[in-house]
Amino acid sequence: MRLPVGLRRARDGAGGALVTRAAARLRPSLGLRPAAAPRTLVADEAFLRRLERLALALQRPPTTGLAGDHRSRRKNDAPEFADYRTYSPGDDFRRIDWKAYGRLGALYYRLGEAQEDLALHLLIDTSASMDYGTPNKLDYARQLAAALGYLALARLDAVGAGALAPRTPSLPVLRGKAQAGRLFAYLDGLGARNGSGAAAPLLESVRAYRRGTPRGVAVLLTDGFFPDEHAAGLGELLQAGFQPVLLHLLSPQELAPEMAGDLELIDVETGEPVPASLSPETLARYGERLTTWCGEMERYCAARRIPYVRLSTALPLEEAVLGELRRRGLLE
Amino acid sequence: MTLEHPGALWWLLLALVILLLYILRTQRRRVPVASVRLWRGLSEELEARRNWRPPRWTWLLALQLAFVGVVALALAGPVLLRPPGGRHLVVVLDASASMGATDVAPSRFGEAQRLAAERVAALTPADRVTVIRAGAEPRSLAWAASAEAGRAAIDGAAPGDAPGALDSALALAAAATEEPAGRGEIVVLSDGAFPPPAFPSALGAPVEFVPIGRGDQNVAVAALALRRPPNGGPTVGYARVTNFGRASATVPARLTADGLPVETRNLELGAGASEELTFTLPPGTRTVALQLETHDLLATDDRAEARAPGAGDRPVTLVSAQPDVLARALRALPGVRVTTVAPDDYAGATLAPLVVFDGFLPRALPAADAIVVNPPAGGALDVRGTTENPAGVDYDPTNPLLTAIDPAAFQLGRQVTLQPPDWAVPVVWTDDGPAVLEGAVDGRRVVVLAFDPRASNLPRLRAFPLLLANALDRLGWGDREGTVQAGQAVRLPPNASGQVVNGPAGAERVPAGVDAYADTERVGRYTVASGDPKTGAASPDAAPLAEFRVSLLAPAKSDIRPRAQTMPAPTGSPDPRPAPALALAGLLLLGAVALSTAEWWWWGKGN
Repeated sequence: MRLPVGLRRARDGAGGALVTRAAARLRPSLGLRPAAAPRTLVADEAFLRRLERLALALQRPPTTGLAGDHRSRRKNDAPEFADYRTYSPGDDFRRIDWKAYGRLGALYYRLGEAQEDLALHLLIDTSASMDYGTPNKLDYARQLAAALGYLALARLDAVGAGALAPRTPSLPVLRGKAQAGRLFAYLDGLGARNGSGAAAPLLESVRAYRRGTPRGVAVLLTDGFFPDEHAAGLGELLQAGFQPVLLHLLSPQELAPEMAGDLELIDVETGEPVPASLSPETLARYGERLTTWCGEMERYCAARRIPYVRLSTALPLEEAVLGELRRRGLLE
Repeated sequence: MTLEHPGALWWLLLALVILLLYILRTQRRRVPVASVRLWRGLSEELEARRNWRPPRWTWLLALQLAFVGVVALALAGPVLLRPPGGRHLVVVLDASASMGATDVAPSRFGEAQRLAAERVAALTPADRVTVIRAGAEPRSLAWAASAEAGRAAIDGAAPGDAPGALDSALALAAAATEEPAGRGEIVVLSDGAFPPPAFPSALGAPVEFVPIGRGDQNVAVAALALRRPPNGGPTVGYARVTNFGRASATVPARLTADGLPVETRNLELGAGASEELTFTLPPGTRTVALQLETHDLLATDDRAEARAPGAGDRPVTLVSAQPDVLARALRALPGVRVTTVAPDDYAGATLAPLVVFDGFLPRALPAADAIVVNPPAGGALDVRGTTENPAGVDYDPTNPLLTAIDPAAFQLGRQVTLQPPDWAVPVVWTDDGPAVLEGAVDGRRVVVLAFDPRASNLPRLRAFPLLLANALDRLGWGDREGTVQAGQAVRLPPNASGQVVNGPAGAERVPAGVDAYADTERVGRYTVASGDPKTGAASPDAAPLAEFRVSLLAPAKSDIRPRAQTMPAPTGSPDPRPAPALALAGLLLLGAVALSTAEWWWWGKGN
């Protein structure tokens, strides 16, 4: 099947050797651990097509002032044509490219109407605590970020990415599906900062990222284990005009530990040992404490209209994006 | 329930070991977690860091503790006991001679049987009864048996003519009450005609004495003895007749010799008076009987019999190359008839029941009693050589073989050095080994004089014939002479192939090798005959090997006045001991196997 140019390039870049080559070029400069083997972030073509039908749905989407797929209250002063996307029911059929239909036999929607794009910033926690669990939290975060980034790029939204770690270069803002390969390469090159000591405070990482970055939606993909309180970092984003979104990722081993007996628990970030005698009662107390901790985070976000979604990495990626995030109103 | 091996409960300490393994912490496993933020302080810090912890209750721990407990209990041998509810009646029937008195019909023993039967009839099916016959030797006729079996034992009991051993009977009764058969109680049915018994120190049950009898009229032959003077004169006899009743009595006493009347005297006896009789027996008399012509309450002691010393032949075979010295000494003994056999003719000679070997000894002892004098090497004894003029003569002064003899005067001259056989004990010995030994082997009795009398001073001493006479007595000849008191054991002739003793109660087989007979509870004549080696029965045409007469001759039993005896109070615990009903060890071991299986299943489930 022949795809439009932008989508075809994105597909080639996302699912083929382009991601791996780009990641190989980026890794040394990022100071990240080399990937053990080439990985595919989002390789399912059907899933990519379904992503293209979605859009970010936020109540107060801060915009960059540039054209995008989100309707602008301003007059249409954008270029007539920007890109194609597949036709979706409900689209204005006047913008269907009938010539392409004549050549390819499929309906494609011509983008270029006066629309403001949405700057989507994907901030991924790369602390050592994210390299934990089965499925791995960091892998899950990168796949989820790739899906959201591709979704935004497909809507001609601006997409930026960065790691919640100091001295880690961030990805400049990208536009258009043609840039999906770069996004995927950047994400593929992110690795956990094992052995670098304690995780960086969230506030410091946020400040480092927002400098010179256009305002927009900042999606934080993190397990929440920061040395400082999450409130400081989220508050910094709000003050800077960002719309934070907190995707709280936890592995099944954290949600329902299956450990028992006398153990010495070692913090993978700090190496701090904690002796523990795990009994059903102890595990129940842990569950209560986890619920309380997550609840505090959720209440804080709700009070500031910050979308908060807690995801288990056991949840399949498609179900998380197409199901959970849509149900929670982050996507439409 | 009780435990047969309570010491096995120490195995329960293994449960503590298991608990200790659960309490002590082994090295902690290090497990990485994303963050210890939520884990920190979750367990009590002090508790988590201690090297021990309270044991956590798990099914595995419960199974393991249960397994140890069940196995320890099984090893302890638990036994379920039958709840005690019944009585254990122990009946002691006095079967001594005085119980034959007829002052109550049909006799005192019969009355005792009747009363005992009444007691047993009152028992319930849950009760148990033990019947002990207190004769010369106490014997249990029924042991913790049912009332029916006890009644049958009582009906089958018979009185004896001997003094009873009530002390031993009560000890046996006390042992019976220790049986876990119910609440014990002892009933003694007796006329009390016995000296106050030495009761067992601890009787675990109350003892009730039931007196029987009311009369005391009895005149008895209290003593009868015969003696043959050393000078070879006629045998003289001595007898004492006593009136044990409270009334005077005139009693004709008839003396017979070999069944022929010798003399009859009318004895006027006051209450408790005795009359002593002496008499001279006609030459050649073999047996004497003194019969009181009276109809008093007890007939057993109205007659006494005795065999004259040296009555009949005492055949002795002397195997010697130089028989003069020994033959002369043996012939000096009463009744001894010596047949001399040269050592070369020994193989084909007919041997007497007593063989004297002098300077000769075959490799195998004959089936006869033997006196071995100066044994040579190569015979049945392990002779190592000879010693001239041995010194350091010592001896066992209590041995009957040395009665009236002072071995210190012995000058042995030449002693035979031999290795004493394990069946013999030394009687006289020197620094070079035993000089005189005695013992019994394979039913024959043997006396060994391990020196040459001709080289010693013995032939010149009066001790020499005395030593030979004592040796003959030790070989049993004297036991069967005179009169034997009822209940007294009698030595039998050499018994290599079994014998049969015919007495007033019938014939009784005596196995080969047994050299004594103790069942002399009935008065009368007893004969000993060889038994058939295959059947054990007496040969019909075989001549008796020996004969002896048994009489009561027990003044304590002839004094038949009923006497109340004070029985001891119970000193043991009156609580009855329940009877074992069911051993639980097997069931518990099966339970342990089931627990072990459950433990493996639980472990296999990954717990």
